[in-house]
Amino acid sequence: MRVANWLAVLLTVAIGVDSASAQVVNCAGVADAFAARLALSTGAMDEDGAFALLRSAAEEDLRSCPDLERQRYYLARMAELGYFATGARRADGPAPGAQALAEESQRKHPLSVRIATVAARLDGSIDAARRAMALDPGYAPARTALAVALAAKGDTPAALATLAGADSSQSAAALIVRARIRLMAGDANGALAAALAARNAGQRKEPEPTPSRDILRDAEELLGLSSRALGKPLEARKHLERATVLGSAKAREALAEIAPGRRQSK
Amino acid sequence: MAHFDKFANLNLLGWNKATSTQTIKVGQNAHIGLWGGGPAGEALEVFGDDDRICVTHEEPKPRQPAYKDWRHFLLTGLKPGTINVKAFLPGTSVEYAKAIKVVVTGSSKIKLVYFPGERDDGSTVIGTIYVIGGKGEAIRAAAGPRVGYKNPADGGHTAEPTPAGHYTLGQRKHVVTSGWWQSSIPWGAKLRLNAKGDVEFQDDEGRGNWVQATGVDGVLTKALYRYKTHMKEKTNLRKVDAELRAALINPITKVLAVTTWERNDFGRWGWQLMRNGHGTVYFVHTTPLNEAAFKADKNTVADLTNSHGCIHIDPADRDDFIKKGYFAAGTEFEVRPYSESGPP
Repeated sequence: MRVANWLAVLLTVAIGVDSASAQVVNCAGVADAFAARLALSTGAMDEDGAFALLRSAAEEDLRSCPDLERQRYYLARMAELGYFATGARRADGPAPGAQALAEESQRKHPLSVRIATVAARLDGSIDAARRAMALDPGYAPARTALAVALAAKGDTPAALATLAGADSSQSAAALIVRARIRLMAGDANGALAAALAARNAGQRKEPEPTPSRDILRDAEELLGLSSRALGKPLEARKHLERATVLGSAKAREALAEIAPGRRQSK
Repeated sequence: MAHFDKFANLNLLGWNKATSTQTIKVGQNAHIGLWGGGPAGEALEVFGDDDRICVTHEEPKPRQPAYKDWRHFLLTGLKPGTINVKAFLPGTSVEYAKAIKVVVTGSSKIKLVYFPGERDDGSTVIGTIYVIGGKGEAIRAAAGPRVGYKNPADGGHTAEPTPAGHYTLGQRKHVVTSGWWQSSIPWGAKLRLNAKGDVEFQDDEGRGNWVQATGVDGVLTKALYRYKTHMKEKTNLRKVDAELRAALINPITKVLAVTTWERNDFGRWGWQLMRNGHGTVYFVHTTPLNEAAFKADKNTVADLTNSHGCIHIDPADRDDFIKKGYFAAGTEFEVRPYSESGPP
């Protein structure tokens, strides 16, 4: 729920500064401006940089308006994606302290399904994902988080059932998860189809801020791994090379295992 | 023991086998081979003792079975002087081959040579721009990825390796292109609200004309609309205009959120790579994130990211090379192949 429209906070920039230099900040305006900027965050040449700049903007906003849920969620999500406070991004997972940040955000905003979903993904447990989903069963990323947690425990049928629905109605992030679970379950054809759908869904808006390069990297990685499982090493190599360039460590390992020059079966 | 020598058809010009000395002129290259490895066949670490005089890169290994025990190195002379190129057992200071001497002579006009594929830092491939005929300066730079790809979210742009070849630098400029919607306004342009409530920008860092940015005829509105329609988003100019206003104008106070445009994707300055007098699609430039970090702290070291084919540099290095006159229109700029790696 939105905070009262004209909730304003008085900021004194330093101790001893007289009241004339105090600044009045309208938090509703700050929240709206951030939402508008977030909505236009696509189409930057340096997508990582655009995310990092917005991350700094969110941090700045929270200094004057600490109760803004959207900014708090954005910081948690960026930490989950591996963006450091300095703007750099880790290649191999969440930034240090990401889970603690998500949990702290959850304490401040216990009814926020998106913060709960970030916390659940970082936690990895089925319980945490169920708690997030209970806050808003219609929030697709929470459902996807539950599918991931179920698959991690080996219950791939339940995971796939959680993601039930037409491919065309799902976000690229959900399709990536679906492809991964299908591959885990030994259904390489199904994984290939879902990965292809994810790559083609790359033009759609994701429900959460997600670097489009990550979607492409994961889709290419899964296309490569599925192709390899289907006995198509040349096709697999092509996708795995692309995924490697986009930063996939799994693709790099798989690429090393594919013997060069091996003939592709039909 | 391993040893340096010429193998196959490597050019013998300037090579004195008796003294193991290679002589090259400033700005020229020579090739040398290294036969063998460590006692257990391990790859030796090869480097020169002063990369400001001559820098050593490794070429791909020869494919012919006859040369399977050879490694191939490229020596590039940057300024006059003498260095030793040595081969060490990995992780030690133990030399495992007799060093060669490289004598760099003569002089050269300023030329920049860029090795884009020197090393991989996580998923980023990072290289170095070396100054030939200068004082041995070198700066980090990140070009396009090693292997090209097309990201559907990039509005039709592809990401590709920066092509090797000989270029010259074009004029320094604030790059403007509607191909990237945030670059439809030059970096540093002043912003204001006109009487109708539309956002206008002033070109050329406050010295040019005022141009409409928002509104259905605004430059920014049209560029963003083009991007969105390319992305198959169902929208129209009025809707896009409203979205832009929401982001640029504080909805409560009705004042501009920012009064200077610092979102141009090419950063403050860009230099187009020219080939045979014609502009290419490749530029040497910075990024908005690195500009913001540099603005906040002049001593910050930029985290460089791979581009779509341009060459990303650190704003601090950019300013340094402008000051020294290296980034100037007409400066020769050579891009080497990604396959040349190192120095360590």
